[in-house]
Order: sequence, then structure tokens, then C-alpha cells
Amino acid sequence: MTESLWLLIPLSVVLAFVIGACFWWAAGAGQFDDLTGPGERILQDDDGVPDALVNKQRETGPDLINIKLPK
Amino acid sequence: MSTLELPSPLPPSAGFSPYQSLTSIACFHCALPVPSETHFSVKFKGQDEAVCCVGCEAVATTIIQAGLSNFYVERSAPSAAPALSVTLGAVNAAVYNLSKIQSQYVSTSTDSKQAASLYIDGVTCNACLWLAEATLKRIHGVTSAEINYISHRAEVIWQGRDTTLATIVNAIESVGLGAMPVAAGERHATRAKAKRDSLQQLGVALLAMMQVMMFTVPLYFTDFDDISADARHLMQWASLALTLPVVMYAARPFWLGALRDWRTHHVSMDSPVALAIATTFITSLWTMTTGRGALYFDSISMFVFLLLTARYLEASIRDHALTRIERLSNAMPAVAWRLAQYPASRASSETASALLAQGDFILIPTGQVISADSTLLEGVAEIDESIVTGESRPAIHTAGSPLIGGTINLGSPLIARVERVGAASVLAAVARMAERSLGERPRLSVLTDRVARFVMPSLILLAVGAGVVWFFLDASQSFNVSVAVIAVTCPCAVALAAPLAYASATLKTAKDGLLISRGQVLEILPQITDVVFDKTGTLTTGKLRIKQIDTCPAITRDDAIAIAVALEEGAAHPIAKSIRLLDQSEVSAVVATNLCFVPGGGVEGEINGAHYRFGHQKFSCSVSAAFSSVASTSTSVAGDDAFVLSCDGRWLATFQTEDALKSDALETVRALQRAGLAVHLLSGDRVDRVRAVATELGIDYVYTMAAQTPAGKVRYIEQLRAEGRKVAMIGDGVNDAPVLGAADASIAMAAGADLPRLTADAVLMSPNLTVIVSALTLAHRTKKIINQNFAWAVLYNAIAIPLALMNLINPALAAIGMGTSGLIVVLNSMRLLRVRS
Amino acid sequence: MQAEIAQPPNQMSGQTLNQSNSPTKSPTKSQTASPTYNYKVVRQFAIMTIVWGVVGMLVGVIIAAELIWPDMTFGIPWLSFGRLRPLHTNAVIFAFGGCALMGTSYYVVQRTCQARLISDRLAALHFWGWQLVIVLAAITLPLGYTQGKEYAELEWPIDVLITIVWVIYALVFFGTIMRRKTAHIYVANWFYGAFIVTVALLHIVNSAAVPASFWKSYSAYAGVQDAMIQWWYGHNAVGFFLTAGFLGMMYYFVPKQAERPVYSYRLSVVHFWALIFTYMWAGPHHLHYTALPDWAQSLGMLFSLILLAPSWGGMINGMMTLSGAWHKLRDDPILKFLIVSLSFYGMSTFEGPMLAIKTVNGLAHYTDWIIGHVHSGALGWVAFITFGSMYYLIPRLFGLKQMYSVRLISLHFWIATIGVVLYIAALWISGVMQGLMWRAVNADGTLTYSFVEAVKASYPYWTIRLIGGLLFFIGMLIMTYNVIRTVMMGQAYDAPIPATLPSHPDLKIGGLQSPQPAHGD
Repeated sequence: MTESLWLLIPLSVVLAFVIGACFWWAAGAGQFDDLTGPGERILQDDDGVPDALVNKQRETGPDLINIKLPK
Repeated sequence: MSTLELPSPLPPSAGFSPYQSLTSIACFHCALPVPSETHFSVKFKGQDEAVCCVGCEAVATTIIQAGLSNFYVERSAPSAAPALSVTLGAVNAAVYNLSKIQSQYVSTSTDSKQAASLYIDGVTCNACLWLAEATLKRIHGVTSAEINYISHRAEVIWQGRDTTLATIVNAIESVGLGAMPVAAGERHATRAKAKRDSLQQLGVALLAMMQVMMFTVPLYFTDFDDISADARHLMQWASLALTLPVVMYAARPFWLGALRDWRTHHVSMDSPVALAIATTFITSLWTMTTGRGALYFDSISMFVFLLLTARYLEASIRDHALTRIERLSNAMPAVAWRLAQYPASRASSETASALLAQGDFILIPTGQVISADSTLLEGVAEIDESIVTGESRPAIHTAGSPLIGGTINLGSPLIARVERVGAASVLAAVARMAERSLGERPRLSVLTDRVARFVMPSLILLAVGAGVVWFFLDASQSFNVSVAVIAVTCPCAVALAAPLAYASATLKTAKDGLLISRGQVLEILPQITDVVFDKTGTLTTGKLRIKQIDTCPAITRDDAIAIAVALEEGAAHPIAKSIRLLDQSEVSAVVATNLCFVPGGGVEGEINGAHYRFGHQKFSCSVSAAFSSVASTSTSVAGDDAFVLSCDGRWLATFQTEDALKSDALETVRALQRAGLAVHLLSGDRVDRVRAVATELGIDYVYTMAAQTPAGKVRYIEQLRAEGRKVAMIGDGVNDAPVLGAADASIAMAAGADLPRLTADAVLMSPNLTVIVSALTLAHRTKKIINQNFAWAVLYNAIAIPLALMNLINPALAAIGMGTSGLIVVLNSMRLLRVRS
Repeated sequence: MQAEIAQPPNQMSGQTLNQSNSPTKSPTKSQTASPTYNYKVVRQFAIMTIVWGVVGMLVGVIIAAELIWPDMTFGIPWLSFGRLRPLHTNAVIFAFGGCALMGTSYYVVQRTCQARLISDRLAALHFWGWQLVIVLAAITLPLGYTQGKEYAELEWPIDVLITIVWVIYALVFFGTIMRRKTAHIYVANWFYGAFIVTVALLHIVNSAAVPASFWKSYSAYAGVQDAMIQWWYGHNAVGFFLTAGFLGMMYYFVPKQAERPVYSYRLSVVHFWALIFTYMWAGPHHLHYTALPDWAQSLGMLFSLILLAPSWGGMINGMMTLSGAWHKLRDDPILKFLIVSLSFYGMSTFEGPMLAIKTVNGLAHYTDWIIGHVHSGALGWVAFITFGSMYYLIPRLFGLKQMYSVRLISLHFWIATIGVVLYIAALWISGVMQGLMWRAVNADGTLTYSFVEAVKASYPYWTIRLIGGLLFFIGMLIMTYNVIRTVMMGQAYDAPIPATLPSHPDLKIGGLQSPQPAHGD
């Protein structure tokens, strides 16, 4: 039992330092300066496929399958 | 460089659309009604969407063509109407290339990269910020652009040889938003850094505290034998390793504070804190090496974390307020039009506002912000001074009157002579004032410092005394007892008792919409006996509303509205706005031609060949003496608040307007009166109007003062105070500044302007007056909670210190005791955040 | 079938839409020239997520059936429960879940950092390396090569391979973050990053072993130490693989699909750090009533209870993202998957701390309840969020607006939901029943029931569980069909990186062509 502690406790201390360093860096680099914008910004990144590339979809799509499902 | 020349007025299409009737269609871009005779439209997702004017058309087209049409899907509020420069084309392009502006706003790095901060204006929802950001990123040469969604500040970096600041500002304006370059203030950077620093320290302390607790809690809760000596030791070393960053790094503010105290021979709360940290840490180190004594690692980290939390909360509240001031200093436009050869020539050229000097002549086009404090030379000016006064009705100025920089010219183009620039200007002075008020140390920390001055020596005395006494009783315990006394004494609870309660209350009121800028206001509010209200803009909305329309028998009410609507179409005057708000469902639209706007009078135009006038009584009916007889038989009292419609000089109708009471004014006044406070009404307005309001709100005439000059208002308040009453003044605008200053506590209305919020102890951001009542309740509660906190701190220390003196406290108990004691204070204070409004 | 699906990624060599058979003939020049994201590796991982999902769940169904009909595999040793069970767990967690996490993390990191992966070659190496690991696992586990550590059964040569592949993964992921074009690192990347770093650490520490031969090794730890380390690993694998990683997925795909910003971005950041600060320490609850010292057990229990706060904070944050747009939930089966997954997350993270309370644990430990608990997390949370994310992702990777059939997504959702509910309800009942039967004693102190009586009593519930699992598997097959049709309908598509795109060179931003003022000159 105690032997595993000799591994796990130093490990946890090291880990705490690593986590602390990460937090320290993040706070210092201004990662927490604006906690509204980033949430909006991912929505503004339009990752949809341009209309021009997908005009054929509706012809072959789910119209073939007509299952009534509960909404 | 484009020039403007007087007296040719700007084309009507520039600022406002020509006078036309409106349709019920809302503009695709700004959601204002689309005039029926215009045919502006944009193609959006394959459909034609109507827009109201050439400006909106240009903006919407730009947005859609730039591939940013998602903006119209994402936005949650209609956009602001585009700036004049969009309609006119990029008028200010060259100005930004002036070296003065370049040196003021643009920083250049060695690799020819340039950077500037822009304040993004005209933002109605988050999508606007996205639009601005996306636009910036699409400019060729811009390498990075990020907008802070909270401060609306954009940091832009670009390649100097590819683009310019002018292009960037114009790009933002081309999508219907505004961009004001912000001088790269060192203060801004320092503040941001300080905030980051404290967050870093807080995070480190929190993490360390949790981990140290991990290792020490089991030691407290288990039998000694359950954990082997090896494991025990290991965990102690782990705790030491984790406490090191707390002592060396996170606790730095306390070390620095103690050092400052040492140098200035002044004791603040930081000194006892530093002493406690130092003593306990050194003792713990001693224990580690000798194996005898007590460990305080958990106490240290918890102690530091709790104190840092309190500090952080306080700091973020102050930061919040400072950001608002910063916005105010951006109200001055960057561009001005200078008349270099006036009066010989009226040719104007663009220049930077910063380049203006006293004695320069400037042209102020319609709809533009006035660039500097100046004296009006020509024309009758109609100025929106709401940023300074909070008053939405435009002020009328004639030649020789002073104009305030930062206010907006609503009427025709003006010529003025510059009087004061830069730091001497009104806006700058106000901003300075506000900043100073925030800079002064809040009373609450003064209070705790007073406590500290007493705590610190007594603590040392006590610890040393106990050591000495124990030296004679049992020398081996002497040192331990001394340390235990220092460790167990919770300056924590004392230090936190007041500041955290105030910080919580401040945060809470800020959330409700009342921004507190001076800490002591919460201290004073519970003592208030009298509440003095200003009328216009405080108890009333400050906006015109049509109360009544009296017409001559010849026409109906709807006819009168139709004519008035036609005459005022597109006008920006408040009466035009209030007419547009009338129910027009039964009104058949007519079109007026040959419209002419007469500053200070009203508007005239022709409908079906007949000549109509609409405006102040003297203007509308001056052409015919017939009016007087009509007016005297009419029931209407045509005063300043009445607008008269006439046809060929004959009276047709009178539009009675009023400044409506805020919907919760009555509720607020009642609640204050119920709470046993005397409510006063103090106004510069006419007696009859003030009386009417007082009657409606149930304010005693004895407490109602009308037609007061600012000096009179101040006298009134001083008189009240001389009678030994504690007065809270609730007012609006800088006009009230001396009055607000004369009161014990002052609350200003924020209504639209950033300015007034800076002179008062607190600023009401919310449109709800009732927030004042809840703030008052909260202040009372805060007082109660502070008393509780102090009582607890005293009680705890009264029990813990004697125990420590008797050597009955082991380190575990000391840590738990001190931690819980601090935590109780924190939690008790936090209760203030949860008070229901 | 497998080959057919797996093939397309290899053919997708072009960076943009294959122009020869493009439905539209006119992609503009700027599109062909502009840099794109590396969607290829995302596509590969996405497809393999589906493949390994089918495989892993099929094995799950088989072993569920084996509990009812122990002889159904005719005594073939490599089809026995003991060998297939680790195959099942490895396949669903590391193959299905792993591919989903890796694919989505590459997608999210590229889109939120607006930068292409730092190296296509390393990314490809990561993909093929990971597939090799999975294939090796699928071969060695039925053959009986195992280290005997739960969720870490693979023998040391594969462990070494995993380590190498994982380092490559970390290089690609963090390298891409380093070259990001945005100042802020989106919160999903923090979760993914924590998952990558922590799993690496856990894997290395727990898999430390002394090789005896190529296919046999002995753990570096012995006795209770080994157990302690194993459950430090086991718990944190759940925490950082099945929770942190998938939370990263949640924080990207829920807002994207709902088209609303996450309810509170601030809360999401707090959620991350709170989880990181507390998760590590709850491990010992897996060893209640063992040789582990009491204090360590109590500590594990305490931290497990504390964990409830960040977990529920995250759940509420995810769910409330839809506040004001709940109607979207009615029509959008993808959103249904995502939001229901969050409710299962909330349920499991409530159930977990409760099970960590020693008295509750005394009843539940070693019973079916635990398996039910795991599956409410694995099926309800992990698989559902993966399904939702894949339905969002796959059309975008193949140049389409949406999946081949939205109705089939809906069908999948309902079948899978019924499956999960049957599964966990059955095991919850049988678990409580087992716990009560095992501890029941007669007046004279002897056990009321023999073990086999409890087994016998469990049969009906195991049957229900099999039905539930089967339904879930059928849902997976429906998804597979839908994905195949989608892939056939679309073409590999690599989106351009917008920030570097000189999007509309003709447009003069800032130099509007509106009428100049009449008085200007």
C-alpha cells in the first residue's frame, strides 16, 4: 500500500504543478479576459458546405423513405 | 481631400430621407419603417428585401457581398442606422493618415506591422461584434483582429504596406458600425495585467489549497496508527511542496503590502496577514526538520486563498466601473472640418480633432458630433446634449452660445470657434473627475486598516507575552504557544468582515442595475432620512409623449395626425418621434412637398397646394393674428409643451405633449415613503408641471420645489443637512452634479449618456427606479451582515485565543477553526448576493 | 461492407471537391488555390467510428446473449465470455469512443484555431497506428493475451505502440493549437487537451510492466499497490477519456447544432478547471471495502461527492444552451441525441457519487447495478453524444448539407433510447436484487441464498438487457446504412480556411460606390 503512495503522491504533486502552470499560463496569456466572445465566435465560423456544392442532395435524399415518427 | 462648403446644405438624402410617408415595411437592415416612395432593396438569399435608405442599402449590400450574410440570421436585434459617412462615401479617409493621428493611435513594430485599438460603436447585439471582427479579418493586410465582447474593444494588427488605419475604420463603417480609434493607454494595459495577475495568484492558491487539504485532511480524520510514519512524512513533504508556490507567489500582494507598510510606517491589514503567513510557514519548516511541533500548510493556503478571493471580488467590481469611464473618453470624434480661411472663404478641409487649436474655426455638419468645446458663430443650432445633460429634448443655441464637444448637431450645419481642446474640455474634465473618485481608497478598506492598526500590535504583544509566560511554565511549549496564538487568531475574519460584505453588496446591486462607484454609499444609505428626486429624466422618462390633440372643428384628429406626420416625416426632432408613435391605423397618408425646417421654430411644407406649418406656437401662427382668438377659446394651454399645426396661418390643431412619468415612479416613491423616508421633489421645471407630478406621486407640496436653479437646489439640500437630516439625491445629468455632490449620498440616472454616471456615488443603469428601493434594503442588510461578521470574528477570537494561550489548541484545530471562521464570514457575506430584489 | 466504407478515404487525395464529377462545375479559382483544413483524417476517423461502433456493439450483444445461453458458442475458447468481454470494452471505449474523440478533436481544433493540422503525415500516422492498435487488440484479446487489468488488458508490445501513437496524437493536436490564428483557445480544446495529456500519463503509469516474453508481462506493482494504481487509472480513464474528452465534443457540437452560444461560456471554463482540480482524487472509491486503508477510501468518497458539482454544472450549461430555443429540440433528431446524452450524463454523474458512498457501495458493488451505471454513461452519454456529433460532422465532411435521411436519424434516436432505458432499468433492478440476495442472512447467521440462486433470479433481467442491447445495436446498423448512403451521395470535401481566404477580391470594403455628396470636390 504505502509503496504505491510513493509513486502516486509525488505524481500528484507534479501533476498539481503542471495543472497550476497551465492555469497560470492561461490566466497570464489573457485566456480568461473575455468570457463571452469565444462562445459566440464558434458560431460565427460557418462550417456548412456552400450551397453551390450540394444542390443534388434533395433529389436522392430521404424522400424515398417515408416513415412516420413521433416528433 | 473632400471639402464641404457653406451655406449649401447637405443633401437631404445624406442624413435623413426626404419627407415622405412611411409604409409598414420595416427596413431589412435597421428595422425602421421604409418610406413608401423609395425603392431601395438588397438581395438576400435570393429574395429582394426592402431597405429604408441609401445608407442601409449600401451597408446591407456590402455585408451580403462580403459573404457575411449570416449576420442577418444570427443577430438578435435590428442594427443601428448607419453613420452619415457611409451615405456620403468615405469622407474621412485621409484624416487617419495624418501624422498626428498616426502617432496618437497607431503603434508600429520593427517588421512594419502596425497595431491600433478601436472602440466598436453602434453595437446592438453580439452578432454586430462578429460582423466587425469578420470584416476586419477580411481586409487585405490585416493579420489579426480580435474584439473583446465585454469592452467592445478591437485590437487590430496589420501589415503597414498593405493597408492603413483609414481603410480599416472605413471598412467597419461600410458595414454599418462605427470604429473610434482609442489611444493605446498604458493604464488600460496595466489594468488588464493587474487583473490577470490576481487571477493567476487566485488560481494557484486555490489549486494548492485543494491539494494540501487532500494530504492533510486524512491526517486529521484517522487514527495515528492508520497511516504509517512513512506515508505521513511523504504527505507532509507533498504539502510543503504545494505550499511553497502559495507563500512565494500567491501571497505576494501581502508581502508587498507589508513591505509598503514598513516603509511608510503605516499599518494596513496586509501586515498581520503577512506576519501570520511568515510565522506559520517558518514554524512548519522547523517542524519538518526537527519532527516536533505543528504543521500549518493547510492553514496557510486556505488563508491566502480566502483573502485573495475577497481581494479579487473587490478588484473586479472596480474594474467594471473603470471600463465604463474609458468608454466615455471615446465620445469625442477623431475627425473635424476646419475652415482655414474663415471668414474670407468658407472652404473646409478635414483634419484630426486632436489637431484643432483654440481659435480655429470649424464646420459642424448635420448629424455630426461636435469635435471640441466651442462658441457658435453662425446659425441657430439644435443640439442633442443628452450625453451631458441627460435631457433628450434638443437644446436651442443662437450665435455666441457655447457648444460642448461630444454633443451632436441635429440641425443645419454650423460654424463655431474652438475654445477649449484636449484636457481642458468638458468631457475630459468629467472623465478625470470620475477616475479620481474611483482612485480614492474606499472607506471600507480604511475601516479595516483602522482595525489592523489595533490588531497587529496586540497580536504580537499577545504572542510574545504568551511565549514569555509559558517559558516560565513549561519552556518546551513556549514557542509552540506563541505560534498557535498567531495561527489561531483569525485576522482573516476581521479582515474579511466588512470588505467582502461591501463587495458582495456592490456586486449584487450592480447586477440589479445600480452601479456603485463610491464604496461609502452603502455605508451611508442605511442612515438616510430624506430622498430628494430630480424630476425630468429621473421620475419622468425625459421623452415627449403626445397627451392630447385639440383640433378646430374643420378637421378630424386623424386629419391632423396625417398632416403632422407628413410634415415631420424623417425628421429627428423628438416631436417627430412622438408623432410617429401615435396610432396611425385610421390615418390616410398624405405627402407634403417643399418641406423646410426652421431651426427653433418648426417645419413648414405644402400639401395639395395649401401651406402648412407645424411647430411652436409663435412659429406656426405668427402669420395671422387670427390665432389668438382661436387659442383663447380653445381648451388647450399652448405652452412649450404644445405644438401647433396651422394652415396658411390659421390654427388647425394643438398637440399637447407631456414628459410621461416612469411606470414605476409611483411604486418607488410609495415604497420609500412606507420605509419612513421623506421624499422630496426638486426641479428646475415650471411650478405647474412640478406640482402636477408631485400630486400624482403623492409627494407633499412642502417637499416640492420647482423652478430651481442648480444653486437653489444646492441651497435646499444644504438646508436639509443643516437640519441634521441625511439626504440622498437622485438626479440626472451633469447639471445636477453640484446638487448630487451636496447630498450625503447621490445616485445618477444613466439614461443613454455615460457622463452623469461619473459624478455620483452610484449610477442607476437599469430603467427601473425600484432598484433604488432594493438597494436601500440591501444596504440595511449589508450593515446587519457586517455586524454579524464582526460579532462572529470577535466571538471566535474570544474563544480561540484563550484556548491557544492555555496551550489547548493543536494545529489541526487551529487550521479548522481559522478556516471555518473565515469561511463563515465569506459565506455570510455571500448571502448578500442572493437577496431577492 | 467494411472495406467499401473504409475505401473512400484513401481515394480522397484531392484537397477540394473532386472537380471532374462535381455537381457544380464552377468552383471559383480562389477556392482551388486557398489552403484547406485537413478533413481527410477527420473523415477517416469518423468512418472508423461507425465501423468500430458496429463491431464493439455486436460483441456486446453476443456476450449479453452468452450470459443467457452460456453454451451458444459451442465452447470455442476465443468466443467465451471471459475473452470477448475485454474485447467488447476495448472496442467500444478505445475503438469506437477513441476514433470519435480523435476525429472530432481534429475537426474542432482546426475549426476553432482556424489552422490546418500541423502535419498531415503525422496525422495519417496517428490514424493508421491507432487502427493497428485496435486490430491487434481484436486479435490478441480473444486469443487470451491479457495483462488482466480492467480497461488496460492489452499486452506490453501493444502498450508500447499505444504510447507511440499517443505521443504523435499529442504532437499533432498541441502543435495545431500552437499555430492557431485566434488568441483564445476554445474551451473544447482544453477538454480534449486534458484528455490527451492525462490518458498518456495514466497509460504509462498503469501499464508499467516487466515483460516475461513477447506476449506475457507482469505488472510493475504488486498486490494492493497494483489495485490502487489500477483504479487510479480506471477511474481517471473514465474521467478523462469518457468524460473530459466527450465534454469537449459537447462544448463544440451542442452549440453548433443548436446554433446558439453555449449558455455560459464562463461556466464552461469554470467547469473545466473544477473538473481538472477535483477529478484525479476520486479514484479510491473503486476499492471500497478492500485492503485499501480506510482513510483513502473515505477520501475517495469525499472527492466523488464533490465531483457532483462540476459535473452538474457542465450538464446544466449544456442543456441551457437551448434555453429559448427548446422548439428546435422537437424537430431536430441530432439535437435530441445531444441533449438526451446530456441528461444521461447528469444521471450517471449523480449515480456515480451516490455509488461512491460506502453504504450504498456495500449494496451495489460487484452487482449488475455497476454494469448498468457504466452503460447509462457509455450508451446514454458517450454513444449518444458521439451519434449526435457524427450526424453533424459526416455531411460536412462529404460536401453535403445534411445526412442522407433525417428520418432515419430520428428512427435511430427512438430505437436507441428505448434500448438504453430497457438496458439500465433491467440491470438496476437485477443489481439491487443481487445485492439484497447476497447479503440476506437467516436468523442463525447463514446466508439465505446461494450465489447460483441469485444468478438464476437474474435471468429475466438479463433477457431484457439483451433486448435493450439488441435495440441499441439495431440503431447502430440504421446509422451505418444512413452513413453509407450519405457517403455515396456526397464527395470528399475539404473546407477552405476562412481567415486566410482573400474571400472577395472584387469587393472594396471601405470604398463604397455610393453617390458622392454633391458639394464634394
